[in-house]
Amino acid sequence: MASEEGTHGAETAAEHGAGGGLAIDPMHQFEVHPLIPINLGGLDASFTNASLWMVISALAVSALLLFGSKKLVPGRLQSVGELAYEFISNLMRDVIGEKGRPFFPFIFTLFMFILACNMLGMVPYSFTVTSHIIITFAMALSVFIGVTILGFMKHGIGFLKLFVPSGIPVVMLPLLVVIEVISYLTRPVSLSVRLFANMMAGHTMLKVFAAFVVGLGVVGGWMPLAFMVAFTGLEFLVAFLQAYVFAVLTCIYLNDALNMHH
Amino acid sequence: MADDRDKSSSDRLGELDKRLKRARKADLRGDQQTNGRGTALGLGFRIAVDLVSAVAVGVGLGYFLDWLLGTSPWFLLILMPCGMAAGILNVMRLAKAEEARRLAEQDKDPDEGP
Repeated sequence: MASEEGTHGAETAAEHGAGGGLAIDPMHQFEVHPLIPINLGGLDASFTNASLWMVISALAVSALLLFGSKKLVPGRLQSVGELAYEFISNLMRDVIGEKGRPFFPFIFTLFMFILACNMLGMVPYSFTVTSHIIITFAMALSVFIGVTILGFMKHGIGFLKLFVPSGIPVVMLPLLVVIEVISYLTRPVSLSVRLFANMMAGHTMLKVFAAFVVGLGVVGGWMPLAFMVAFTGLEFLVAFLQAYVFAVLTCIYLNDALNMHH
Repeated sequence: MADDRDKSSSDRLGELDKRLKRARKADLRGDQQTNGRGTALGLGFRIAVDLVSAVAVGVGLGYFLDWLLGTSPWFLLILMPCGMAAGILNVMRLAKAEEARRLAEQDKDPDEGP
């Protein structure tokens, strides 16, 4: 893993360091380039490497859950699927309770898709879909809009009570309502920025330290290499954790819309 | 295990039930522990991002309203401090929720330290 990242770093360094010396281009891995150019009436709808990896992620999750789940006594692959199911099922029961049951497919799909994107992003030479803010923001915004619509459907205009804190003098209300509304609008931003920043920072760090391994050579390269091994492990943890956090926060927002208590 | 054979089947079933319950409880506790440790990193990051993004939303909203209504710089001036306040509010809510969760966990099994 680490050494392969290292060779990739060497390539980019060789490409860009024409004038001698070490040039690191850690952002090269995030470039989006079209694989199949598609133009829909002046709109660029090309099938890019990002699209490709999203398709791969979706297929990987589908394959895991479709082909691994036949036997009564589960094999390894089936266990993974069942563990994931139980994990999200328990999470939703803890956070929302029985009312959240109808939304299980949505949360589960969201979690598995993000997890697959993050994990496939750890494969050398692959593309990390979730390291682009437009993708995480699109997901966060759809969650946000969906939850808001749901809140209004469940509680009608009473959903606006979410923005009016109780036990406050009337004079303070205009100010506090503005603050509450801003706090509510923060949700999609923080939800998307968290995932995107974690993935991008981690992958950039990996690339930078991989370039150090090459730059320091056989003599001094061992220390960053050891760091890389440890850091790769941490990155796997982060990849899982961020998918989990995204799912948890979606559950919390869903809970606010369904149960409305604060 | 030799005396198991002497008991009636309903007794043995009851015992099995008890053992299953105990195992399930232990399983649940283990889950929660690993969760607590894993999310410490996530929680820290959550606080940081919540704090900053609220300010960003306040500034963005103020700038947008000013651009829309041509009232520069008033909405920006009003909404930026509101954004900062919202950031603090987010963090306080998060901390309160986390505290409640931790307390509930301690109540559930007092023998387990944090």
